Amino acid sequence: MIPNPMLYAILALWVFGAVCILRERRNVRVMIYLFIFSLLTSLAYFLLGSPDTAMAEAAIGAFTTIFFIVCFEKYEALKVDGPQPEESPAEKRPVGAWLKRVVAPLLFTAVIGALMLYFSPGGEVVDHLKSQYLTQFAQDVGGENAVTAIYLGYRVYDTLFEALLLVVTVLAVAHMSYSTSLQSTKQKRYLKPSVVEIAVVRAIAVVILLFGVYLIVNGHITAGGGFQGGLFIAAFFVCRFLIHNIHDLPVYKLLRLEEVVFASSVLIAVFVIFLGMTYHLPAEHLPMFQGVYMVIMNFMIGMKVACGFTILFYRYVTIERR
Amino acid sequence: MELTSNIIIIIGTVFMLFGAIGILKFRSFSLRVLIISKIDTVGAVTVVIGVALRHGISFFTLRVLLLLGILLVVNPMVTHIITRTAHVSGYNLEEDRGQDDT
Repeated sequence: MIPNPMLYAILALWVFGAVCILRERRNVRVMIYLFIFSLLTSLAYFLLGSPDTAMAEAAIGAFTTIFFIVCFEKYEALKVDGPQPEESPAEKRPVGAWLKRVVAPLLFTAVIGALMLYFSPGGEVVDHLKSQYLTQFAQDVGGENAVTAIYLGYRVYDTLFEALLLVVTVLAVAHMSYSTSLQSTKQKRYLKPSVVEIAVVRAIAVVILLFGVYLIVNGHITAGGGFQGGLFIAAFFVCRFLIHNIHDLPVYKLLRLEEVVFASSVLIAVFVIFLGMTYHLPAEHLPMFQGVYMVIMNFMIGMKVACGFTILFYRYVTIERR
Repeated sequence: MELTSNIIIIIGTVFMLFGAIGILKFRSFSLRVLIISKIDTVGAVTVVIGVALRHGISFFTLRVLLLLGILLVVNPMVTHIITRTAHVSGYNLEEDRGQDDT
């Protein structure tokens, strides 16, 4: 692969963006910087030849930005009115100023130089495991997308534990935000969407849902998969919230559904991969069985991710402490 | 065809460059929103049309044209939301009129 000069530009922008995030005091600007940072990361993944990860990164960046904005909005509403404790300005010492002027730029350049040294997108990598995966995945796991074959076949253990992490996170958010003093903001209405917004979002939501389903169903052939498709389906529910302002989504039923889907995906993975069911099948039925397995697993994971992110979004947006 | 599409893509990037310069130059809200909408619509649409011309008649072009449709619908809506939110949250257009010399 030819080293792309755009990658080096993105690398420099990463360091620059990180310094911007550290130096910025206002939360809204930090969130915008964070979103730009994740977009740059997504572009870098794409340039390095991994559209699956790029898609997941872009979608997750958008979702985390929404969550942060909602959280800070609630936090501002929680603040007690009255005299705020003034932040005492840091005493200016000559040593500190000297550090700022000389040492910080030196450190900055040193960090960029060190990163450039270790960053070799076109370098020779002798990797037997990689060649093993890339040549054998079509027989071992099936499908045409090596990424999906790896995360549903060779690395299904890691995938299950990542999925478990998301389930635990959603459970924690749903149960920690549950209290009798918490009320749904059924009366409070955010800014009412205008006619233009309703029409456009209604048209776009269908496209988003179709794209999510396409990613899930075609995950083993083209770039995509369960995680990305699930995120897009959750984005469809966010669109529904934006236009209809639904507050009565059955969050706890969704939570049960997510747990059931997660448990069944674990069972399927155990039966197919860990117990080696593919070894007992006749060879002519193997590709079809593998395709069915991958589509089902992608569907399960997509459903789980969609449920999880929808629950997170609805809990964050609709619950408010009075 | 190759040359034409390259010229169209370059024109689009020039539009985007002018937009970026304009965001840095102007300080008032309304002018900035105007320029952002120019980047979103004129620049992006020109670049996408150039890319579609470059690949001729193929399945890729169909997908690019679908993307063009989504861009044409969504980007003006984003500008609309920004301006409307500023209006609803009480931003006064008369106040920022004097911030630019133009």
